[in-house]
Amino acid sequence: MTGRRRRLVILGNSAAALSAIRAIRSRGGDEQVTVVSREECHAYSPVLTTYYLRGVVPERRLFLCDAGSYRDLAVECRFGRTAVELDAARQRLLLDDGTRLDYDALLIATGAAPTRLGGLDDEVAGGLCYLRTIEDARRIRRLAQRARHVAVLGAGLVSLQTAAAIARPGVHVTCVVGSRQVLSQNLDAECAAIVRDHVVREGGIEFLFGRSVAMIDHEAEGYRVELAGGEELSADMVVVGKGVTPNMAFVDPGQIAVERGVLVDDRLRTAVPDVYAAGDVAQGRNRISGAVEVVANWIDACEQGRVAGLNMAGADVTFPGSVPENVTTLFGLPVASIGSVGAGDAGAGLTSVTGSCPERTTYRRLFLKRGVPVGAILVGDVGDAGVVRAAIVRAEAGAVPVDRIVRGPIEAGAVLRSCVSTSASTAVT
Amino acid sequence: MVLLLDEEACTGCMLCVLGCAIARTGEADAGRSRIRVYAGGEEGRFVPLTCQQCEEAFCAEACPTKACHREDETGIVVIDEERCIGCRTCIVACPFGAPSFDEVAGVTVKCDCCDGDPQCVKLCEPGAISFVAVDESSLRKRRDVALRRLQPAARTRAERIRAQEARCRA
Ligand SMILES: Cc1cc2nc3c(=O)[nH]c(=O)nc-3n(C[C@H](O)[C@H](O)[C@H](O)COP(=O)(O)OP(=O)(O)OC[C@H]3O[C@@H](n4cnc5c(N)ncnc54)[C@H](O)[C@@H]3O)c2cc1C
Ligand code: SF4
Ligand code: SF4
Repeated sequence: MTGRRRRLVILGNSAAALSAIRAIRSRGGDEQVTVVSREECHAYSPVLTTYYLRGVVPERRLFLCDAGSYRDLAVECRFGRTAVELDAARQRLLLDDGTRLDYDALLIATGAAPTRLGGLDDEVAGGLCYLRTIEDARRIRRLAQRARHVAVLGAGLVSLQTAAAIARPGVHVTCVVGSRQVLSQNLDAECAAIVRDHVVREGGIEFLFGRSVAMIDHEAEGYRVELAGGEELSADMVVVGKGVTPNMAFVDPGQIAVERGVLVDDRLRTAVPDVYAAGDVAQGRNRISGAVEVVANWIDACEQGRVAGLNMAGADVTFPGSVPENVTTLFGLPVASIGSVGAGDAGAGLTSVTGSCPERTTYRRLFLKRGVPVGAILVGDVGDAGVVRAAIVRAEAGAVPVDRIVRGPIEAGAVLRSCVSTSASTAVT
Repeated sequence: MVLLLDEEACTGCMLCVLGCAIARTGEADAGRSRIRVYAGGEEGRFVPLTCQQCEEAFCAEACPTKACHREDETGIVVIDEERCIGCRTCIVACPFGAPSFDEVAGVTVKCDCCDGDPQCVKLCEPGAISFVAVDESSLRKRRDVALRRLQPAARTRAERIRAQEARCRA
């Protein structure tokens, strides 16, 4: 081989991208690494934006990197540039300013963007708020300072956290929810009711369940939100939280297979050998259910990015699969959901064991498939979430002390012990 | 350096638990201790547990603020309480239940080996806790054994990566 350095292009500058870059550098090669992001700023954590809205985290603390970090990682930055076309056949990426980047390997780590509400006139559509980027957060913070009535469309994790961040005495927040419960992607109905009651009680947030939005119009100072059944509400600010859509417009589906996201194998390779994908844009195997789906969370984006980066730098590492997991705290009530929890369309064939204390301040539910734990919801005390997660990921029938876990927080030592006794008894038989 | 815990030697006296709480919070509140001892039920055994200083520290990788990180000089995984927002992501990530949310402080805390002078070691009469250099050969084996019992998949992955990397270097 002659001395040309391999050119690696990292598309995106967030969780998956940063983990990939660190992994590449950890192998000590001399690859030339270029990182492209459509945002001008250094990498920051979208997870923190709601903390910023609440005023708990100052803006500068949102950032994960400064100029020095990129210098230390020896990467060339192309910030403020959007990828518009990926020509995988020629191994070339086209940016919106006309630049062409040739690569030997490329990582798609472009994440996802909030799904936009359609069917509205341009001016109304342009006034709606979405939360994903630091720019979105600045805008919401600015508008929320003057708002008195805020309509939040949706009751997913981001919507609820945003609602919680905005609600304060004198500011009325109404959540308009299509389904019959909060957090329908993360929680079962019973647990969702506990969370809803808490949020209503502590935050004074109002919920309108089972309603869909028919139209949003301008009104004197703000917006009139018309609901399908004929109800109306006025709001001087509308925040939309209707899920996210992977950022993959630059991908040619004729070259690289896509479904809901960019399809990846267990080495995070796309259909094209030198193109990898990781994070919220990638659709890969769910470690627990085996389904091929987009699992969008920070932990997973980091893990996938790391494995993709190692492979791009010449290693041969497999990713064990994504684990859906989320932990959030709403008005002081921590809620964790791990694995398959019967939410969405994954409910088929699951049974569950529930434990809760009479005052309903803690609630724990374990989901099983053919007797094997596949998911858990913990409310109130989530201190053992990692131990439970490890137990579920490991899950072999009988190895997880299901009854203990639903009774109350479990210590890692208890799982260690039960494993030891299980393996001992297996050894005897 | 890392804390090596010997469950065979542990008598379950809980002095480390209380000592840690007192040293780090000023109160004898076992709930705020960063080391735990599980009274093992049927067999009457005790399992002391605290941060294992994982080579691939999942907690640090997952932390969205990077409050949880590995210190360059010491190699010890710590949580910077100034930066921590208490999101509990590291708690979900850690298979050993090492990080815990301190309700009083409002942040997540975990064992950080007391700046190189772990208090629990001095309190453990039977010598079940020792503070040893990371490169001691038995250490990796011990941690692998612990991980295998807790999460075989994680161990195999770590081992696979190590083996693969060794192959690539060869
Ligand atoms: C308010 C909020 C709260 C959240 N809370 C949690 C939580 O508590 N726990 C959790 O696990 N997850 C949480 N998440 C989700 C988490 O933020 C994502 O899973 C994670 O950020 C995914 O990382 P990523 O690297 O895949 O993509 P992203 O973070 O979406 O980053 C994508 C990157 O790609 C760039 N990009 C996009 N398109 C292009 C293009 N065409 N050309 C060039 N660059 C492009 C962007 O500028 C950005 O740098 C939250 C998200 C939000 C918005
Ligand atoms: S906190 Fe847990 S995951 Fe992190 S280094 Fe310690 S034992 Fe490992
Ligand atoms: S609780 Fe603190 S240390 Fe843990 S992941 Fe969140 S910010 Fe990081």
